[in-house]
Amino acid sequence: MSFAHLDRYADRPSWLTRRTTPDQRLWIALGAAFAAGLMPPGAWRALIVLAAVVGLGAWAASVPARTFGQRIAQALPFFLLPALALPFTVPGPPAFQLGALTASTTGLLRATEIVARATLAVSAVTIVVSVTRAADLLGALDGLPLPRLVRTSLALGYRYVYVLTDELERTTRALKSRMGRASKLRLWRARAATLAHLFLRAHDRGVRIHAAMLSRGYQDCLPSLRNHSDVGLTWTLLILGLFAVVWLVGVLEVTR
Amino acid sequence: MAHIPDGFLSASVSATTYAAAAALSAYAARRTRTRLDERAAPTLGLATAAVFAAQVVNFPVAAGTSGHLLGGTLVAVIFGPWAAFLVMTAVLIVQALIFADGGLTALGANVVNIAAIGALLGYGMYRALMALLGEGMRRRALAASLSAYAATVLTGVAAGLELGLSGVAPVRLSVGAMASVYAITGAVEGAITGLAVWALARKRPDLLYNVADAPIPASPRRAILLGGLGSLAALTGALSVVASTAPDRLDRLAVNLGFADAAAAWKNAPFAEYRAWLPGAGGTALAVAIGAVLVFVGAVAVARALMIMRRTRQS
Repeated sequence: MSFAHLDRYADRPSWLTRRTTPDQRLWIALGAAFAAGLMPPGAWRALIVLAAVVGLGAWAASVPARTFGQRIAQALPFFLLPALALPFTVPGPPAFQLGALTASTTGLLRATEIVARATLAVSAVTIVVSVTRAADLLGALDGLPLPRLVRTSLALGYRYVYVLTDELERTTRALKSRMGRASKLRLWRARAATLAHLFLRAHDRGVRIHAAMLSRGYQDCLPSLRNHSDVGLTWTLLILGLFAVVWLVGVLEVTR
Repeated sequence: MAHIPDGFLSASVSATTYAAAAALSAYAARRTRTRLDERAAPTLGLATAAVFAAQVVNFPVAAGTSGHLLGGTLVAVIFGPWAAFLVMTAVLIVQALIFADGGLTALGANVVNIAAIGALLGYGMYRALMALLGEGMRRRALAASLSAYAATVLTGVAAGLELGLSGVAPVRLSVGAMASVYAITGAVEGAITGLAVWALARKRPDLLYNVADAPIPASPRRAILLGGLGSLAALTGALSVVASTAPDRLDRLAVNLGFADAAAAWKNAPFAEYRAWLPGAGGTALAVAIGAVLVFVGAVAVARALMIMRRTRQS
């Protein structure tokens, strides 16, 4: 197993990749997600402007529309399904009847707003993730105020998730071939034992890796060969400033 | 909705949960470093990878549906609570950033709900149950299973509360809906955790985080009693938010038959209408929590009185 499909457009030259480093792209993604996600309810004009900026970003990143759409579609159920319940649960003037359920206009409006905000935030993150290698993205997390143990866990986790998933796939295949007609209870016990085995292997491998790292001079910190560059700093600050302005316009639009 | 997506939380709730998550992460990093030495980093990296891989394994539930492990309590039982908190935080960051499972603006809330409640509170309950049930493979598995179930339900309650406070839906509704959904998710999580801990306890009991290594309070019974009582009060208080405010059958009967005013004397009771000092839902939660503690203390007092009477009779 590999996550190589995530890096398919990482090396493709585009306006965005030529002018920004992975670290800067991570900040841009965070800026867009926060501007969209925290846009106050009712700020429709600001949301439309933000959608135009994100659309421009998709064009600047040269991510094929089909791939972009597929990735958004994968993320869609995470926010669409919870939002679908809102028209029927939020009290307000009735809009339409669906069997025994009554949808309210307030709930409909709230669900539409939430879906719009979530779609914009996910789109911005998807654009950046599509044009940045996963390893570079995780490396860019060094610039965020995260505990060192979390950053090291992320780097090593990314390195070994393929190894452990391959092992798990082999164990699961063996389990399937031996338990074709097993009862549900036996199947649960066997799968739980598989998970226990997975954690056991992860622990033992962790101890071995630690010994190997120590023998190579590990001193409680993973060295990085990444090239820190300020090439696109002006562009990054401009884009982040634009997101901040749009968010502020949204706040003013609601408070007036 | 194990992970809250972007767009659901208000700026104030997002900022508050981010602050709580940051404070907990900093403390967890300090605790893990002093407890697990430098071996922690590679082991935690592998644990992070294992949680990712483990979430791929589906468990058939019913009618063609399946569930998978969330993992907070299981990782805490193996690697310890603070290390598990960091592992779950790392998993949530990657899920939000690369897989769009959980929003970046809701990352703080998801860390509080899944990492803090799943790992820290789940482990706290596991340890309390272990002290009550005693040692043994099956007891260990049972304690892990029950604490994973309770932690998952509380994760749902916390998520519901955050959504309610953000104005997505009324608090009562969101907490009730999330608690109901998570009661089912929690049953799957509890079963998987219990079975996995049982398998580990049989195969490699040394791998499970050694409770003996953790600092033991001077008076374990008192700590367990107070911890249990505190959890009971917090749980009943939180759940009171979703309780119905409609009159019960006796109240309705009194109103229908016209003698509702006869009960006016009770309006001067200390916590009349389940209200204690604070206005709104806060007052109800406080009154119910105090009530739960008083009922518990009363039951203990009656039990002790009965024991003394029996001893006196025997002597």
